[in-house]
Amino acid sequence: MKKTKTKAAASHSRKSTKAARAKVTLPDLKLAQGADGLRQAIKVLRDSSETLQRRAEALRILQSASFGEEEFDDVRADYVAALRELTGDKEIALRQRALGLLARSRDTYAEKILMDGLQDPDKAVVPASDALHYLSYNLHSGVQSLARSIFDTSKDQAVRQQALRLMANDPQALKTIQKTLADKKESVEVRQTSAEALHALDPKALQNWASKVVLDKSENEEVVATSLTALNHFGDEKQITGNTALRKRLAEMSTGKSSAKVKRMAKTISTKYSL
Amino acid sequence: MSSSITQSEAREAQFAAEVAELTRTGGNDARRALIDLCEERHPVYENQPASAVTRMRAWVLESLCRLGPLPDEALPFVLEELETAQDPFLLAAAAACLRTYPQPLPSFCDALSMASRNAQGMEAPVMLGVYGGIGPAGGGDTSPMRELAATIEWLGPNAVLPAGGCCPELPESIMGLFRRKASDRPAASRRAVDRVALEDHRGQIKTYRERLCGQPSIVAFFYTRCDNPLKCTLTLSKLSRVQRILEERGLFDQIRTAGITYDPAYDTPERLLRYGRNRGFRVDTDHHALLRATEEFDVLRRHFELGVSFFESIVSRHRIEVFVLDREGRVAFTFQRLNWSEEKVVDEAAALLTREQVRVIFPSVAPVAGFAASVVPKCPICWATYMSFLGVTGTLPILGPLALKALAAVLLTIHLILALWRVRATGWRVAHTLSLVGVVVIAINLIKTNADPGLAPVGVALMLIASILTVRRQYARPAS
Repeated sequence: MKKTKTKAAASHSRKSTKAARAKVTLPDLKLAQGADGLRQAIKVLRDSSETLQRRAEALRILQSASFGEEEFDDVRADYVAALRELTGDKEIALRQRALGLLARSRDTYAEKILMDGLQDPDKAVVPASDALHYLSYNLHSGVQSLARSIFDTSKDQAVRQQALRLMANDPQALKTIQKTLADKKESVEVRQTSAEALHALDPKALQNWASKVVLDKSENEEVVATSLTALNHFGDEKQITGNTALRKRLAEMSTGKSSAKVKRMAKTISTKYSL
Repeated sequence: MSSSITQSEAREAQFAAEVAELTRTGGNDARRALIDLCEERHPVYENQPASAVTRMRAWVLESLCRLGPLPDEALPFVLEELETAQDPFLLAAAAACLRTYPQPLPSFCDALSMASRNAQGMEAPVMLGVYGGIGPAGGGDTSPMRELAATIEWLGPNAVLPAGGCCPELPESIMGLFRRKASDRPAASRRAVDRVALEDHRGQIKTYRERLCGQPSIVAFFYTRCDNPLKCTLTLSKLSRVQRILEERGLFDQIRTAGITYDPAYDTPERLLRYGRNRGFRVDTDHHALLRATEEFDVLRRHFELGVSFFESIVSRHRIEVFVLDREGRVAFTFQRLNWSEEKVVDEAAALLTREQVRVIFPSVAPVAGFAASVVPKCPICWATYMSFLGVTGTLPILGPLALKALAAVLLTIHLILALWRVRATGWRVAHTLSLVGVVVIAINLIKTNADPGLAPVGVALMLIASILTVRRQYARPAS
């Protein structure tokens, strides 16, 4: 009991020290109250001669005020205008924050900048994976066709994974997703993201694939674990209990040479469906 | 990188230039062309993403206003944007556009108050007069709120609602543009739509004819990925309210309700069910369903003249649209664009039910007469003929319930037995063979859910020919 208390006290003390350090390092913008203070913050944010820390703090203040403060309505249009300006700022951190915030509100100006950057890397103001991530906030932005094309051509795994996440909303990408999932040459991460995408588009197809993977002894263990997770959470009881080969394989996995993770998953499924 | 986006951007730029040219030209033709461009189903919006369609429509509204007073025909589009727009440029353009209407009507209050509520979180710099509504470096000289404030000022004393009262309804001449009777709509291809397979929230597939014929229906279109809270999610919640009103009026089993998705590739039965349930839509009987047309959505789109456009497989823009169908599945009444009243939709469907109950008495005489004629004692040949008559009078094609199908099966079997009995008596097999083929054709029509409706008349014709041939042979033979 005493030990627990000591641990908790130590943890609390560490947290307090961290918070105190953070407070010390945060710049004091000396803002006025109400809408005037918000206008001052916008001025700091726009001023490229200010330090990154001061501008980032101004952005944090404005962002939190945008959620509820009544006086924010007076400056909302100026705030959006400032964010749009930031999309061309010299500081990538500010560009990323501004584009993320604008994209969340489906700002067509920001979406155009992001799309242009994806089509022409010379115009890109943020990395392609970020651009795809921001554009994913609006499934109507039309980015899906670009995502398909980027997925086919890019060699950057992070970018391809991000593209796959967007393709999860796109029925036209179904075949590509299934092909990627079946391709053992693809990286495990890309195949796992494909499995998520397939679940979103065609849950039954994912179940069929998962059953096949479990039966395939040459399959990667991580991919097998993903399939077992899919069967465990979204599996159709009748299909699983009626599949003799699958039942047999699950029994083998529970006791055989499989990794601890696979064994645990196989046992969970066997218990869940009383196999 | 070549993609649909690159192509759509090129087409969008061309569109912007063409609309600007129309504005420069001016005159009635230009105005007509711009009003036509307000329709979602205009080909110019096909395969354009939602953001492009938004810019294009805002540009059309702005251009219309520059041509002079806003005509009545364009008013529904402006009011619709005020009620449902989710984009600052489109909302600001609609607000500015309304001020060009010849007079400030008190009935504009509703749309303006909804717009003011929506605009609060949408405030952003807008530059009217520039395609896309955004000035250099993302700036602008106005905003949705500023434009709305100017429009409310233009409305003057009309903007003040009477104490405790609500906004007066729009004049009937304008309301007629939102609610239309079927007579205003061109006839669509019935046969094609009858065969469209509709899968419901349980995964059961039936044809349009099986699902939406036999009783009046209230049908609304929606899709689960719609991110405008004032459109699909509201439409389905309102359809649930329609169900409650039907129940209160004792019409729940007499009038069907259906929500059909615009997005059949994505909206699986599970998604439809979850979406409906979360919005209170009842799917506990066969009369009320959430549906998707996985194969032939285009046929539905043409039949209902849906106001929807797509970018690849994703909806890029749609209007609010609710239909009241008669018992033949034809569109009898349409509610479009403005948020519709659940009570009025139910009133229209209930009126249809009353009208159709009166009308249906006459057509029902025909099958009864056919059946009565067939049971009057006659010679065996006449029995067969009258059985065929049952089909000719329209009984077979309208068969729906299982009991009637069973009755048809019994009658067809009797027909075959009697025809076979004649073969034993005469030794002449041609007529029996024809009868047999006719019965098989009709049986296929009865069993298959998506059979060609033209099959039944073919079967009946074959049976009739067989009966006539038998009778002719009987009279041609000398009496023994």
